[in-house]
Amino acid sequence: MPAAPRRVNLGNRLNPSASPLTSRPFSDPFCFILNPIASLGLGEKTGVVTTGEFLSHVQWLAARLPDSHQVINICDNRYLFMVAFCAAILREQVNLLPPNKKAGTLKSLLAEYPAAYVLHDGLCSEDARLDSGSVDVVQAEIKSEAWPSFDLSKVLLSADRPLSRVPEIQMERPAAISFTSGSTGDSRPNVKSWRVIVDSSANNARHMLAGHDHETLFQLATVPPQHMWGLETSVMLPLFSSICVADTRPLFPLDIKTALEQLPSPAMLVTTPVHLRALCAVEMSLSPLSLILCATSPLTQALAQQAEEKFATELREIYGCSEIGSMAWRRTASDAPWRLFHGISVAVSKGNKGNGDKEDNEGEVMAATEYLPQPILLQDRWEMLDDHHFHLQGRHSDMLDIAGKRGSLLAINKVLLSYPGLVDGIIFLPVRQQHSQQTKQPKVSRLAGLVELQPGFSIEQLKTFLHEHLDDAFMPRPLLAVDRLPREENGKLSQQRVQALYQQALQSKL
Amino acid sequence: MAKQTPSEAKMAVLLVEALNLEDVEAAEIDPEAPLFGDGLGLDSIDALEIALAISQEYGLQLKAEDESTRKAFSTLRSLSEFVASRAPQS
Repeated sequence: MPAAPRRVNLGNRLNPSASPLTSRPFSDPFCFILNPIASLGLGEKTGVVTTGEFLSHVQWLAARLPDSHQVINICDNRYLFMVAFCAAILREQVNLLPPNKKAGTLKSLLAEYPAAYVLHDGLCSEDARLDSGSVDVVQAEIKSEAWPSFDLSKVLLSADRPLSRVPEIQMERPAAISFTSGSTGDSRPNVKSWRVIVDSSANNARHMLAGHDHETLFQLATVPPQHMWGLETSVMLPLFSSICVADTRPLFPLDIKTALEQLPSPAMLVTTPVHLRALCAVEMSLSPLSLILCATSPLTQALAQQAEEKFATELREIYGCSEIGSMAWRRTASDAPWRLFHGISVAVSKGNKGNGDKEDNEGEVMAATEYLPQPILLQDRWEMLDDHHFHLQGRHSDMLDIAGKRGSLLAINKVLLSYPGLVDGIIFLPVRQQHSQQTKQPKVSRLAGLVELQPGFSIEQLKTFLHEHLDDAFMPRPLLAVDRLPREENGKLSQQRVQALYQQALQSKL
Repeated sequence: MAKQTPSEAKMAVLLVEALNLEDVEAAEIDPEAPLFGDGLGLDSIDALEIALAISQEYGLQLKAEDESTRKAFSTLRSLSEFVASRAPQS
């Protein structure tokens, strides 16, 4: 594969109010198809799709999308997601990116954006491979035409009409809205204008891909394109850097191994500690990689070292938040401190000890970048070592991070409390630390729930309700019925008494 | 509930241990009940964990891309039968 020079100078400086949809040359390898996509009109063909072909597909689809201002883009195949993402932007439609594809989540998103439609690629998503129940509900809603939708798997994308130039996008136009649980407990929209996408991608490339400027990297990602981490790395980076991204999202180690063997080199992997742990635990030889990028939940130094050794490569762990995206990195196998990306400025509070009864705010961080309208209060506390290096000091207690899914305990409890058959209940993180026998790495911690139900309602019914509204990672497990929650007179539930009751309820169940 | 065969009982213990299902007794898992969705309520993180445990215990690597793996993950019975038919030793 010929190496193309990386183009990091982004944004059309002569016309700063607009910039091109991609900065890649037309002949560049843009996406690598591992799974034959019938709708691509390529039949059984796999392999490289060039930027030129991609742009033709985008233009073709843009002309056929329904009229609307918003589209809920839940395409699972990464190539089809990218075509849909860019076609929507070209049609001045905002991509709404839900935190999961649950029927309840999509239903509330449609209630909030009544003009939106669901853009999907056949609803056989990879999460759905193993959990067909939740997809059946979504499918039923779409089939009954209760939800307006567009099925990309039913059309034949055509690249018959090549573009002569790359379309320009207005910088201030909103391109996407990603939804995450904010600390206030409500699903919070993060609006990404085209400017944010262009500028943050340039900054991400500068740090994530440093040292790989003169080659095209073939990227495999184990994360979905809808989530910020997957969006930044597997959708936004390829638009502006020399990356050819694979269309699939493998789950099991053998799937990842097979996919990597089919990709040309040099290859890179975008992943999470959960996938990495499984990959490192199995005894199979894996092709060497040029780079691993890992994010979403804390990575241990031991696992980082194991991964570097197994793939004979460098692993960069990335730190970010949903508002700004990626903002710091470190080589976890050898460095402890995080290195702040250039272009991001922070102010860290020195604390207000002894100042009334306010919670001490030492270590709280306000972060700002050129492309965000206002500074953001981060959910973590930092200890600055110098202007560009810091240690993480922990997260606000409400915020959860389970297997890379971020959520607010308050928001999850709000869902529980909205159940009609509930008298009282709480979802919490039990005190336990489990290590896997296989990998000696800490296991994913799960939430637990204690509930008091009205007569006539069962735990099973409550589980079905929660399943419709909560991400799988946040389902309380176990969910136990109790006679009464140990509330104090002021209505508060102490952490200690909840944990004690939980142990008791567990004993009596077994 | 259908009765567990000895190999299903062994697989049930592996599931409970691999997933830390604190409120589930291995012997109580219905071999015909769905593992994911409304049954035991497992998700893709669990699927990874199960795949890992199966590779350690039975020397079998699973592929999510295969239709047969998808079917195998539907119940304790199908998972146990799948592993018995594929594993080098069991």
